[in-house]
Amino acid sequence: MLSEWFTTLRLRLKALIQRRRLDRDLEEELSFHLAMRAQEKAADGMTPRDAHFAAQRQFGNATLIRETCRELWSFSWLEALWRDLCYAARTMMKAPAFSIVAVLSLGLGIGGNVAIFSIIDAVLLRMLPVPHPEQLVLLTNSQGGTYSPSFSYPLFLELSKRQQVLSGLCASGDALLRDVRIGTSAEALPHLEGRLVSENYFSVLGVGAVLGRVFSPNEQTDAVAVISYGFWQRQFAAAPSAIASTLGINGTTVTIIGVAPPEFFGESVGHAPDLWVPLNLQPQLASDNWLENGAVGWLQVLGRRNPEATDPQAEAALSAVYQHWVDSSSGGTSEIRCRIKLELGSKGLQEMRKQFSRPLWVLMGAIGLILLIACSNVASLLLARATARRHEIGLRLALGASRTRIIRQLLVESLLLSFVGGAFGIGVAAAGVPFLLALISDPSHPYVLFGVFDVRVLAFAACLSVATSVAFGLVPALQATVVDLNMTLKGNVRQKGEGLHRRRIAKGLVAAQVALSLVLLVGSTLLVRSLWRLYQVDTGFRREGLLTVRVPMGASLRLNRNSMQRDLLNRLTSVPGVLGVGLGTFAPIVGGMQTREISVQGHPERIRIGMNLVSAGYFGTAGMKLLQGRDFSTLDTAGSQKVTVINRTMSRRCFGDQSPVGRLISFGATFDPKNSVHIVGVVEDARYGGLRESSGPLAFIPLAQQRAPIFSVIIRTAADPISFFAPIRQALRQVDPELATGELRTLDQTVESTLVQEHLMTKLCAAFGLLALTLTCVGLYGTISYGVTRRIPEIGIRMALGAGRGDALWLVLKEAGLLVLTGLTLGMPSALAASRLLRNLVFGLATTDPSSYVIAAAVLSLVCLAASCLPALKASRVDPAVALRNE
Amino acid sequence: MPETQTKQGDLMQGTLDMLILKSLTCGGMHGYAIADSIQKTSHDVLRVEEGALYPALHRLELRGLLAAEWGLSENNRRAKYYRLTATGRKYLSAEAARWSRITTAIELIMETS
Repeated sequence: MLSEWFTTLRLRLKALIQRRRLDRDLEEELSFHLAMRAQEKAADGMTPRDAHFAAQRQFGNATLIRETCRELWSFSWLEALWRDLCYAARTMMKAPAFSIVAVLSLGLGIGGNVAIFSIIDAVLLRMLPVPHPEQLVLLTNSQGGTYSPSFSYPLFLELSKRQQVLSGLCASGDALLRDVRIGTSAEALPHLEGRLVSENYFSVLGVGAVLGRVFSPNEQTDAVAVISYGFWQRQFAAAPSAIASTLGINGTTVTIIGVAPPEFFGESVGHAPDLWVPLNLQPQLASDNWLENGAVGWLQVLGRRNPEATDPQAEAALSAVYQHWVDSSSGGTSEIRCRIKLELGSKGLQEMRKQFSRPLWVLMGAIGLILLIACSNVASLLLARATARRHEIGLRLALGASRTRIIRQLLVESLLLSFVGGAFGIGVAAAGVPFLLALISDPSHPYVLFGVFDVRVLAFAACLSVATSVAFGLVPALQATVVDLNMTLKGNVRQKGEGLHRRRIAKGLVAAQVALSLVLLVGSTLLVRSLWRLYQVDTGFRREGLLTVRVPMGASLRLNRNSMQRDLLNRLTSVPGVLGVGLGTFAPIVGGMQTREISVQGHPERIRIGMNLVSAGYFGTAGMKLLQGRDFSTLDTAGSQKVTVINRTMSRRCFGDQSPVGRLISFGATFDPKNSVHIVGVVEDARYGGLRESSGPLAFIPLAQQRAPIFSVIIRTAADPISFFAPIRQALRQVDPELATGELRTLDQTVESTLVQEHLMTKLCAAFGLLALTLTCVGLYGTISYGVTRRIPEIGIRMALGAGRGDALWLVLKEAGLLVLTGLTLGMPSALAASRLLRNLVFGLATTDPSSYVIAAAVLSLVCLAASCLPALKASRVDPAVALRNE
Repeated sequence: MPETQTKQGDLMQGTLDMLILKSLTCGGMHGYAIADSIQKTSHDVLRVEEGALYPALHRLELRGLLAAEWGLSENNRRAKYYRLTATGRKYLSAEAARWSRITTAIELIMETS
């Protein structure tokens, strides 16, 4: 079968090259036959003339046969397609305005879709570029509460030593690069990302080096590094001599031993580490040794599934190791149930995926609607153009072209339009993807996606273009070929029934556009209102003049020394204009919270609360209102009675309406009077876990009575906090150089930073809504004004019979109003259904929030009304005398 | 006049293909000779409509079942000679076997009634 196909292809290609010869041969072959037959007849006694005709009769229609044969030898449909394409290109050139509008709107629609699809593909759909990514699992651990993907180094060691259920276990953690230079160069390289990885990291992932080698299990020295392909290209101009060169990392010199493959970006989608160094190097890169610290979780642990153990078996075995480790380190059996859970690791770490999955699908939906609106707009344009081209089409039909042939021609025209639009769209997407990525990422560590434009994305663009061309081209093409030949050829432009039908379709398209726009507008209104609500949230902190310092990990551990705390407080309060300083384990709004179980004296129930360790004067600085009792004071010291201030939620949860001041609590499952803590006050709730989460039960403990790492410094200033950044940073540097590298933010900036994604979504959706509105207006305007042009004689007659200008105006506005109303009626249920997608994105209102729907519908109706005013005014200015004379 | 005036379509395309291939088993011929050969061998029962022969010939050539070359005819004119290829020969024997199975079956039915 295949060889037959190849023979045909070979012969046809030969014929294509020797087209002339094929024609000549065919001619000669047939005429030879005719001549032979005529000769035979003549030999039988016919006159040569009769013999000639008899031979032709016996042969049949020679022209038709020649045509059939010729078609056999050619790529007939391809050639027809090529002719159609040439014709379509000429028609496009002839109507440049139409073509530009169509290509632009299709290009924007397709481009937006391709851009968002390519991000979705890279973030959500694609597998890690390693062998057998489906075997990879990501480990998460829990001590009774929620599962976290962060492991301490001792726990990782214990797990790798004692497990047999996974065929490999490797870990990676942030190397916290502060200062990287090539060799001993004086210039440090900015913004690099590095990972500390276990020595089997590359071998477990199955990734080798394109140059040099990766880490091996018995590395002689820890001072080695594997660099990324991009880093190699940028800093070493891809020179092989990069191997064995040295890098200075945070003051430690390491030797480069290998270059990773170009497509390898580690295990975390959206990040692109520049270099990898062995875990054992950690103490040399930072001032603290985390290798011996079992309390700091900073490693992500990935494993490869073993074919012999199922996931539940592996989880059970790993959990047992974990439990044993916790029990033996705390000396005895603890009540905490330690669990390890496996998560799918084939697509890498899920952080970016979790964060962006829902918004990306919503955006994809929104941009899909835009494309639909653009399609229906182009379809209306094509319908109107079909009227203009009626004469041409009628002529071709009259000359014997079949209806399918003309529909094919018209569809090829649509295909060409959408492919030109698609090509333009790929350009739009190529520009749009970096823009979108820049919008969603933190400027200092931009997300980097690999291979965003691959074959899949281009295939998507091509499929989308074909689908689009059918979507907007089919109905107009079917319509255009329904032509009354007699009328057309006689030059009668206006036709009765057929024009009415076409107008009905055009109106339907406009109504559909209104409906689709309503869906988008409702969505954007919901998001705008939700963002507004988020800004209105009472955080519990006084925003004016509040400034926060995010303390880097290393400094946070050193800060739990009392002497350093005192030094910090003294230096900061001596900055002129600083009204108060507070230290805390967790930062306002973005800090999150560690939870612990407590028991209350005389209260049988155990409850889980958040705990924040703060310095004296914290509440005053934060602007948190004290509701009952007293604040911490300098008299609460390590030697004095243990005290706590609780928040309002905890007071209500544990004590109802009674005053909690003077009551005792203790940490742990059972109340222990010896280790009890005195409640001395109640403060107003404040948000630590983001703007969206209302505060849970929370207790504050004075830092003087319990040591803990300090991650947040808050400072109250007398004037605009931004003007204090420089003096505060200077004061911080005097206390601890690493502390000065911590991020400074005003509380407003912090709020803003948590809303980046919301802002982005709202802006994009609002932009989409606006675009939809514009496209719909254009569509409505076009359809209505075309209707008015058609109805000028009718309006003329009405006016001649005594109708006023107002009546004409009303006639048109009524038509437009009906269209919009139909659209709104269709759009409402769709909007209700579609906005359920926004369920987890909107804050403080239901997705059925009536006012959002009313606002969206009102805006849409007003804008549509405005768009139909122009044609309506034109109708009201019809001069009956002129109109009737033209009829 | 022949018994049945065959029109185009009366001889199904597959059958015509088979007849053409069969008439070429003894050596190469040009189109005119093939038409005559089919007519004569069938004792004038089957008369191919002469024009329809050519699309069939070209189709077979494109499928690689026939090969064609130009040669001189008996009266010294240039003519296109067709001959069976190895694939054509294989195809013909398969078709012939199929054909005889069908005709035997049809005969069986016609005889029993």
